[in-house]
Amino acid sequence: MKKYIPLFLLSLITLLGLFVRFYRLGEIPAGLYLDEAAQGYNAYSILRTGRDEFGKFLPIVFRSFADFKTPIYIYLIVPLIPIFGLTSFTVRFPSFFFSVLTLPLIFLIIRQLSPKKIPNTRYCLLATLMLAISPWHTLFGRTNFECNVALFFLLIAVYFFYLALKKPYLLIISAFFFAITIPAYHSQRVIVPLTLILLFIRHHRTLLSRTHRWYSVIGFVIGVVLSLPTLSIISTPGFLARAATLNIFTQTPSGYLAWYHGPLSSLINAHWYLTIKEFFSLYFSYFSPRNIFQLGDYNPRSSFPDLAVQYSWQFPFYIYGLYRLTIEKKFGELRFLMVSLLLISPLPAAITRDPFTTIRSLSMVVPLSFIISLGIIRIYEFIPSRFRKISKIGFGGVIVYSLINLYSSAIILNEYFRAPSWDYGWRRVVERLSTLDQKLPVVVDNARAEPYSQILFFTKFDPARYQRENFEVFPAEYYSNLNRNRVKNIGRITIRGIEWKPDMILEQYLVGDHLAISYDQMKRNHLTLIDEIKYPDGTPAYRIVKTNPNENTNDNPLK
Amino acid sequence: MNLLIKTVIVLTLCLWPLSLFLSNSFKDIGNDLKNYYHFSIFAPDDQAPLIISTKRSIYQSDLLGRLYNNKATFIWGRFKSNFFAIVDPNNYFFGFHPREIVRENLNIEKFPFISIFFFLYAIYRIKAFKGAGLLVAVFLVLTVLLSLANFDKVDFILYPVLAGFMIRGITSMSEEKPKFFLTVSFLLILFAIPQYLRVFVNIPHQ
Repeated sequence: MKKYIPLFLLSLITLLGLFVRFYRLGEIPAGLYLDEAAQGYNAYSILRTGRDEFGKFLPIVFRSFADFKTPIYIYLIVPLIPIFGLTSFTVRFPSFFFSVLTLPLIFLIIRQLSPKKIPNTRYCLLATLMLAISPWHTLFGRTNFECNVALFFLLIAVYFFYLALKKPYLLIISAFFFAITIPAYHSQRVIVPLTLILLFIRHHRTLLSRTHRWYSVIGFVIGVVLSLPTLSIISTPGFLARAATLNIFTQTPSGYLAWYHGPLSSLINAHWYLTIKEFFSLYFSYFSPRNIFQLGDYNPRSSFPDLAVQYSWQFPFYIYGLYRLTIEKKFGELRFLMVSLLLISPLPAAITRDPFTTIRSLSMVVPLSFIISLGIIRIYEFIPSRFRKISKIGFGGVIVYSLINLYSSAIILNEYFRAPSWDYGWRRVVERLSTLDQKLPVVVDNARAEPYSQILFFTKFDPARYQRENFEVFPAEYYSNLNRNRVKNIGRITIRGIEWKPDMILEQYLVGDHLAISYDQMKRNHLTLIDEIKYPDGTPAYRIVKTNPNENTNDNPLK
Repeated sequence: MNLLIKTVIVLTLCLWPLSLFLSNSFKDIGNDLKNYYHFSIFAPDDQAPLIISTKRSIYQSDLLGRLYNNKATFIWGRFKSNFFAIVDPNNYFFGFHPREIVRENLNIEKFPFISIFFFLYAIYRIKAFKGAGLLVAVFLVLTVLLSLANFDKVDFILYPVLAGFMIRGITSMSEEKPKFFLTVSFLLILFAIPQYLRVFVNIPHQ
């Protein structure tokens, strides 16, 4: 009976993690960000036509906003659409699903890698609990971010790798998962090769032994074959688009003194010095307690209001756990994996210019959870036995407080304060437009946003027709031509900037944010306000207005 | 080797006092101390009640709203903000993030960034470090005290503590990992040239 207790506790923790991620999934964050909508609609387009929005047959990376989205997440959405429909819930579901699956996987990895002489159940359970309630991991489990799915594939690949050290045929499964991790998210293009190199260096004797040799070769071949589509476009501007625009090496380094042209300029503004310093600064910022426990991610979509990526009470356990992990060599393979993940994970993020981006460094949440749990266990061991019961109760109280804190930030404050960042309002705009005169054309302003993906998504516009009526590049230039056509035709709806003079001559509906269609513009151009869609805090999000050509013809002083 | 160790110690420890001296920031320390309450986390803020009441109004449960949004959480938030900035190694080795301009003086690079390896080594070998417990205790007490107010410039009082760790890290590494020490020292000297030059050039424009 006793041996089932860990399983029971693991089930409870997984259920807790599931509830935290599933509660109002698809509703909060309020709104649907343009990337989410684009992924959802491209999946819908693949389902209906086998082609993406540009008519490309089963793309290797998705062109989208010329940001070339990774394909795995989009292909994962495809089979969900017939089940759940094309909804916000559907596009966030894969992230949620793999986020929850990561919880028992962490348990299994820690148990598998812990030395047999160490009673490992408490490490496994506590690390799983820390991950289950982690704001960092929860956030990406509630929203459409490819990084979460990629993290699961990376971890399962690593898990099968370790199993394969005893059962060599599992190397093939490990290779399969490693191969699909690379196209699952951009940062894995750095993390996976480095992880593989480290694993090979550490276990090359086993991998090249008589029992493993052929499976290693088969695994390698399978990995290369599965990576062939990705390798075939590796040198195209599309594949390199993200890295080229974000990396710190190809732009003026931070700290460059543009005003200084003195004799020591080659030293004062030395690129080698500034760039290397910036890289180190970025790299160490991922270990910074200030970023982890206080500031969090600066991006409003990658953070919850009033909550950092981890809880501030975890700070002392993080510091002590980090120290213990460094000095406790008895953890053997587990220590190797956690330290490797900890050191590798920030690398792809550290070569991009953003100060602390939790999306690109998500893999770090795994060693971080283990480190915090290690810190908790080691500090608990200092507590005299007579105080241990009360400290357990206190810890339970802290967990409950943290969960309520998570609810407060992730659900209540997030919905209210972060709605604009999540492009709240387009569903309502589409619903409202469907109730208006269907004969009149509609112009949706795109001066400050790219709402076409949301309009396609919420109207469930026929992908075949959309592909026919819009053109951006020839199929042969799909991965190489980065030019964009920002004018989109979605039936009677045209997405483009409002041109005030010519647009007033036609009777039509105009849609735009409060800056595009201000009250002043409405008055000056005799526009009739049809509806004003507001954010949850009551501020205007979008306005739908109708033009009045007759009145403009009579009164327009420009005429 | 001794000369190299001394050079490394000088290069590591001179940057912060030199930056303070050249920028005349040290003159503000006295003023800041006089206006301690004005800069403290307890100082009144006209916007605070508005922010708190706006947040509270969002919650359906008044109890929950009050639990996470009250005067104490507001003050605690300020304390945490100061505390985590003081314990952040990026504050001392990189002036926080290079693209982050918090306030003028916070962006002073207090130690050459390569010296972070000596600091980390000192932490790694902390058990073998005589007097480390006392230094950690002094650091924590000073950190808590500094967190009660705007620590800008005044945080120089942490210098002796951090310098203690640095010296220990340098000497321990030179004894225990001489090859690694030589590599880090070479990098330190190489990178210290532009870093020190920038202190002289950059100051008048801060």
